[in-house]
Amino acid sequence: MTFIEQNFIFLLIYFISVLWLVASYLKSQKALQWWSYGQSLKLADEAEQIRDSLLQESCCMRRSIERSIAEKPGAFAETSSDWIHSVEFLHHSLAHLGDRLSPPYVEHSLPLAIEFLIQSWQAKNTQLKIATQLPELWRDELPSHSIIVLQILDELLRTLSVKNLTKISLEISLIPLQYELKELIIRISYPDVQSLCFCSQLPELKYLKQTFRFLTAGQCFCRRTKLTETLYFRWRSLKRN
Amino acid sequence: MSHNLQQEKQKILVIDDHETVLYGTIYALKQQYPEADIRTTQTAQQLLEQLPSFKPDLVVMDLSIPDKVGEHDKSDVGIQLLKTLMQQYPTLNFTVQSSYIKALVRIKPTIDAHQGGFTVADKSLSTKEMLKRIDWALQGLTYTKDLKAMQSGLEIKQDWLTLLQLAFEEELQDQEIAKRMLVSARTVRHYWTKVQDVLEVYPDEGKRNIRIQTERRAREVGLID
Repeated sequence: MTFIEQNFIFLLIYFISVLWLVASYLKSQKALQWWSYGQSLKLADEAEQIRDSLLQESCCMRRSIERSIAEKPGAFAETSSDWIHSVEFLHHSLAHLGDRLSPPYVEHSLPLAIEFLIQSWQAKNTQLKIATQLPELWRDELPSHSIIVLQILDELLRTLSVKNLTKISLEISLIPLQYELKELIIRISYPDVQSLCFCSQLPELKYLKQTFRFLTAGQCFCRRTKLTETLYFRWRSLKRN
Repeated sequence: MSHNLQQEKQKILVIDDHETVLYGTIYALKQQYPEADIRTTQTAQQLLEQLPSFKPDLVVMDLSIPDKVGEHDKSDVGIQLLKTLMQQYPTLNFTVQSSYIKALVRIKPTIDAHQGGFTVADKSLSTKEMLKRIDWALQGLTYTKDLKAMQSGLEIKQDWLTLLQLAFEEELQDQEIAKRMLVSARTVRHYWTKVQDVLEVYPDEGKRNIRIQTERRAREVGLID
């Protein structure tokens, strides 16, 4: 075998390996996208069952208690308010569970879903400063990518909250770009250099960026100026039929 | 509650496929409106059959209902039914009693355009609060405050602004406003309920004048000078 033939065989093996790796990456990507969306649908079914069954039952319980109190006010004087509070607590806990399993509005409008998510976070973490710039109109798109974008944002907020980075401030913008591209911009302003270094090196942030790229086949990049770090999540939206 | 409304014989149609909820709602309605003609249905198809002959003043409906007998309840069925009814009966009054009122955001433009009363009552509410929402719907009022997404951005239509300017800057009565805007008196009333809902001004038990409250609130948010 001549030297040229040997080189040709090596090159051939090299290209076949590269093609195989790319094909394998794309197959894994498709499989995990399918898995991720399937899991979201299962959770949405669970949420639907909570809303259509358990919440209805709790409403029945409340109406029955209120009816008993109305018919025999003296008989339940001591315990009636406790029962009502218990049923209210049960109802709101179930409603929150349903909202966590299947984020509200995500199937209809990503801006509304983001707004709801941020309001929920701010209710829990009053110190976290978040400003938003969300469009009122949003083109109808398949929810598969919207759910991932929302999950990434939720996880980012959770990470910042868990690391107790409460002195940072966030600006969240959602922008429709040209050619069906959408962009979520998260601008994080840090109080000092130490916080910036600590946060930008968090492994969770790297995992989030990789997860976003893999599951949406989109892009994620970061720009840093002084004490501000801006994350850009960009994806191509799929239209509904 | 309005005294006149209690004296008139109301016709109310209630749709909910959960029997205990249905009985609970009917019981409360009968206590509040003892003279009322109250009928019930459990599917969207039954409601569509009953509606033309019964001609109710108010429909109290759940969103999670089955289309036909024997089918599973789905919120999509209730949403579609509500949309159809609001388009076919633009002045009919509705109270949506649901465990997931957020789903209503899907038909926001239809709700905005509806000329009849429209109130929402989450199923976590007490019977007293639910009855208050039902009474407001019977009065032709709009109440969507609990749907925060419906209020986002304080969306004010041009007609509503014109109404505020004519009422509070030119101090015109509704009849004059109707003439100036080239609309019916009913449409003017419809604009009032919508603008009051957006400004979160509702009748309260203290009997404060709702128009004065509307003017104050409109000035606070800068809709009028």
